[in-house]
Amino acid sequence: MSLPKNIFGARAAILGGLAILTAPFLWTRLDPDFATGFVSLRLVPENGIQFLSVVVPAALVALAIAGLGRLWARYGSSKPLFETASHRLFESPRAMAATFAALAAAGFVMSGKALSLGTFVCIHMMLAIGLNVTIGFTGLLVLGYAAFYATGAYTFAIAAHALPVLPTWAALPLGFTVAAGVGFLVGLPCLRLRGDYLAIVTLGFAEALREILRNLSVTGGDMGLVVPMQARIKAIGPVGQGHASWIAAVGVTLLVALFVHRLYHSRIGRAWIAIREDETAAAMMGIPVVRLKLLAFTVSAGLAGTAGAFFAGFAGFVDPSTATFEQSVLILAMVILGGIGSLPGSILGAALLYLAPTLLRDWFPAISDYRLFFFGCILVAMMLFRPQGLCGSPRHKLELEGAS
Amino acid sequence: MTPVLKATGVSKAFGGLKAVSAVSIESHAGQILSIIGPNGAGKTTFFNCLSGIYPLDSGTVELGGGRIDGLAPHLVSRAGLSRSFQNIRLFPEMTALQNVQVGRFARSPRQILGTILRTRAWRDRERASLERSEELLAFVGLGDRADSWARALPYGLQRRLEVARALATDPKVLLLDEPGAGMNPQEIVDMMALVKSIARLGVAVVVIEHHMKLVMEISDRIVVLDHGEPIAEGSPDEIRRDPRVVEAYLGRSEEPHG
Repeated sequence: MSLPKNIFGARAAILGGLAILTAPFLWTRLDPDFATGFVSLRLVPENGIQFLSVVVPAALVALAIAGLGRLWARYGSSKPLFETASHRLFESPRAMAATFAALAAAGFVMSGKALSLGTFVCIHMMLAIGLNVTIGFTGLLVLGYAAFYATGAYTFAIAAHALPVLPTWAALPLGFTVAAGVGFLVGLPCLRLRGDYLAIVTLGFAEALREILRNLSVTGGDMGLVVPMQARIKAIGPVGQGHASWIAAVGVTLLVALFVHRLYHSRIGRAWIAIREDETAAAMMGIPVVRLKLLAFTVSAGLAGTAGAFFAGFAGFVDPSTATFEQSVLILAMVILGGIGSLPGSILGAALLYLAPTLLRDWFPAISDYRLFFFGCILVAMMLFRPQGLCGSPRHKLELEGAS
Repeated sequence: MTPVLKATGVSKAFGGLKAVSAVSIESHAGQILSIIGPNGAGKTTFFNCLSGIYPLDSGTVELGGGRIDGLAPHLVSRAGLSRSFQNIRLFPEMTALQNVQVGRFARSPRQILGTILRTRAWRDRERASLERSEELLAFVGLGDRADSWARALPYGLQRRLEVARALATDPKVLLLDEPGAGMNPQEIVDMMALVKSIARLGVAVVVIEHHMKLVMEISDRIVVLDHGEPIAEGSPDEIRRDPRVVEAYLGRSEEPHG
């Protein structure tokens, strides 16, 4: 960290001041006595303790992030350890197969709850990896990414109702194709323009789509749709349904990561980064900028659709909450936490941000109401101490500090 | 000899300001054409017109017999015109080698499926692109800095990397916008040697440059712009003696007449 000491001092002063100002309101309550009309001040320690029980872990996480940031700054090389490890993994089919086998086998000793949690983590990893293609590689902001997740989920649910013979595996190509097609159509008009039009258009699209899903009869309105049994992931032999879902989730996530890894390490990936770095110079190098942006966005939308269709086949139901703004923001936060533009970063960010609130709910039920607050603290700490994300490249840090 | 690049009557105005008016140049393979002129003479604007970044108000640009005016920059690049930028515009968060490989984009075939499956054909082409990029890095003298981040290279090497990246598009015409800007005298001498060796490869080179001595040394022909208008054209010797050029650079003498 290159922050001067006095900034830390000023920060501490502000935080201390806030603590002193808020303390009376947190620890006390005004009790009006309606009979006499007097208002008495009463000390309520529970409120304060509950508040502290949220602030203290949040502060600890923030401190841990700050400490990690300092360690990285001092000892980190230009290629962080995690990045190198992930590169090795995706370059070696044998390592991929071993990872898959190990994780699949681990399912035998995982509880039903852990399997379901793990499957959801995998779904969010696919989403974060997919969003990273547009935001991280190509530098295009997408605010309504959940719309394509919902597109994939509903596509599979509706198709399974319409075609009772539809096999479960069809979810993946179907979700990818339809969501990619929708992404292509949404991206077509706004990617011809420079700037962040895509962010606004996708945001609007997600909100509109959610309202449409809530109001059409074919999508089941607010109740959503139940996916027919035959299209869901089923138990196979000794492998229970939860375990089968976990194996499928690990397999699909690895495939999605491999797919993105290979695109990234090719002329297409290099062209995406070039567009992010300097659009004019990229065009001058013979790169059709609009077409490649569209390709990135289409691939991104398709991967969200894959995740959505997988979710439908796994959970057995879909409802309009898959397309909420909160869902979009959650995926965006995963990419930012992990490190914009980093494939292993997206994987790590998705795991942390999905597991953190769930484990928080299980281990500290008292704080679970403050989940979003906790989230916010972590993101603010990230922006302050490590704006490039856990595995991010130093480039974004430079940009945010105005040094490049 | 027919010119590789032929620009005729190129004009560009921003509002009421005529940045470039009726400029014509001809650039031949293996020759170095320099464009000089005082600051604000419209040299960089002219380059932006040639490379498709600005649409022309009037005039035509032909490259190897085909019209390239009105084409988008990536199509201009595919047609065989490449350039460097006055304020270096590398891709900072890529290595030197990757920067050059980006330049190979249009010269390597489309293979989305091959990319994902990593077919043998894809690997062969990827290796060919890699080898060509390494060759070009060595050509500009960056052979040992292939894995350095572009942003981490010293200024003089960044300029050289930009030239290598431009060469990676296999250009017939190379536009260099002040390749010697901000360099020390030794670096400028080296850069000019590089420019000469590029011309020897048979590329038509067009250079914007301020260092008069070097312009005179390397140029086959020189075009002088002032206030967007061409005021002189000729060999270095002719330009040196041209009174209008002296006037544009040094100003008119204000001695009273009579």
